[in-house]
Amino acid sequence: MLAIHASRLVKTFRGVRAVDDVSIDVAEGEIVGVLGPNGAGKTTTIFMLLGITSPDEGSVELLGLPMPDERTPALSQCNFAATYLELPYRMTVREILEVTCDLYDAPYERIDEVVRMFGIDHLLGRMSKDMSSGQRTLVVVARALVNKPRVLFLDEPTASLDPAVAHRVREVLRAVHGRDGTSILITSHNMADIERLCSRVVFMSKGRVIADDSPDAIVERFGVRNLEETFLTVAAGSDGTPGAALEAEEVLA
Amino acid sequence: MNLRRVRAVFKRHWHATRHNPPEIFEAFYWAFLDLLIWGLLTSYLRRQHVELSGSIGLLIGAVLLWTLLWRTQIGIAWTFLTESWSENVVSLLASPIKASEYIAGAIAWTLAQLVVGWTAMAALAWIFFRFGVFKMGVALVPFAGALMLFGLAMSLTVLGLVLRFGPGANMLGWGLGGMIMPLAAVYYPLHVLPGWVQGVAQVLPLARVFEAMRAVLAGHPAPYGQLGVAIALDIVYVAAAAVFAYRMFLTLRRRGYVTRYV
Repeated sequence: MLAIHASRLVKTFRGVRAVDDVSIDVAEGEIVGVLGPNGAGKTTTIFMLLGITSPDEGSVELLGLPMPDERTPALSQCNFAATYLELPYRMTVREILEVTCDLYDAPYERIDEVVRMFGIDHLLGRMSKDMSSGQRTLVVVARALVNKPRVLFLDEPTASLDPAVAHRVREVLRAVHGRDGTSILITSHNMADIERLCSRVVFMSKGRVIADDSPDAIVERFGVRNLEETFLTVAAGSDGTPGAALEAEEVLA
Repeated sequence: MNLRRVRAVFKRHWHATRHNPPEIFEAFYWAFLDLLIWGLLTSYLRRQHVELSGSIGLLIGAVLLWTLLWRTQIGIAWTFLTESWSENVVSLLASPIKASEYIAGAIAWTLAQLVVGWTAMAALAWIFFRFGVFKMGVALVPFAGALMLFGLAMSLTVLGLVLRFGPGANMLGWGLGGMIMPLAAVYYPLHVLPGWVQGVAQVLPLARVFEAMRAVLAGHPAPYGQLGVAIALDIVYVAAAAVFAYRMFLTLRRRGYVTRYV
C-alpha cells in the first residue's frame, strides 16, 4: 500500500495554475523530498494532500484512504509541521502537546518521549510566546511526532534553525524513520536536508513536476555537480530566464 | 463524534484563558457594567414612582437574558477567532478533528463560561438590586434555551463570514449582536417599534422571548405558545447558519483562502 498516492492534481488560483497535473506516490517507509523555487507549488500540493485545500482536478489517497471523504481516519495517522505554523499563544509547551495528543488520540506518555528526542525537556513549562523562533520550530516538529504518525508532512522544517539544531532535527527524523518506518514527504530549500534524508526527490517548477528520481540520478541527468546546482538551474527559470524549466524537462526527456 | 477531540478544543481555550487574566476580567466587565447601569436606572425609576407596565425588575431581567444571547454568540465565534489570531487554523485543518467536534468543543467551552459568568451576574443582581432570576419561574429555561440557540446561529454566521472574508471579518463578531438588538425589543415592548419594523422583528425569535419575559415578570402566565414559535424559528436559523458556515468552509478549501491564516 502506498503512504501517499496523489494523481494528476490541478489547482488554479485566479486563472493561474499553481499546481498543474502533479502526481506523487510515496511508498510506506520512504522519505521523499520535494524541491523547487518559491512559487513552484510545493505548499499548495502539500495542502491538497492534507485536504486543507481541495484540488480542482485529481485525487489523493493517504494510506489507501481517499481524501477528503476519509480525512479523519487518514489524518489520525499523519501529522504535519512547517516553519509557518505558529504555536497557540498563552499556552505552555506541555499544554500544547497535551492538546495535540487529544486531537490525535495519542497517549500523554508520548510527550516525554518526543521532548527527550529533541532535547527540549526544559521547555515544557515555557509559554510559547517566551521562546525563540528556533525553539518554537523545534516544538512544532516535536508536536508533529506525538501520535507516532505513519506519514509525516514537513514543509521547510529547518528553515529558521541554526545548522546545529537543523542537524539535530535531521537526526531525529532519521531515527524515527528507522525505528517506526515513518513515511516522510519533506520540502526544503536546505539541500543538506534533502541529500541526507531522502531516497527520492521530486523537483517542481511552475506548478509542475519536472523530475522525480533519486538525488544522484537527478544530478547526473542535469549534468551538474549536486542538487544545489540543479536547484539553481531550475530556479533560474522561475526567476526570469524564460523557458528554463521547460528546458530542464527537455533534458530529462 | 470523538469526545477526546471535543475535549481538546475545550482544554485549548481553558489553558489560553487562565493564562490571560485580562481576558477573564473582560468577560465579566461589560456584562457587569450593563447590569450596574440598568440596575441603577431601575432604582431611580422606583424612587420616582414611575409607572411601568410590568415589574420594576424587567430592565434587570432583560440585561440578564440579553447577556445569555450575547455571551453565547461571542463565545463560540471567539474560539475560532482566537485560532486565527494565533495562526493555528492550518494546524487544525491538518488535524483529524471534524467540524462538528470543533463546534461541540466551542459550545462546551462557551457554556462553561456562561455558567460561571451568568451565575455571578445573577448573584450580583440579587445582592445589589434584590432581583432574583427565579422570579421568572420555570419559563427561565425556555427563555435561556431560545436565546442561546439564536446565539449559536449568530456565531455560526460570524464563523462563516470569517471563513469567507478572513480574520478581518472579526468585527462582525462584536457588531452583529448590536445590529440585531433594536429589533429584539430587549428593553421596550414590541409595540414601540414602527409597524413594519414589528413585522421584521416577528421573524426573529428574540422579540417573542423578551415579550414573554415581560409578561411573566408582570405576573401573567408564560406564553408558551410564543416560546414554542421562538424555538422553532431558532431551529430554522441554526440549520441555515450551519449550512452557511459549512458552505463557506468548502469555499475556503476550494479557493485556497487558508493562506490568510498563515
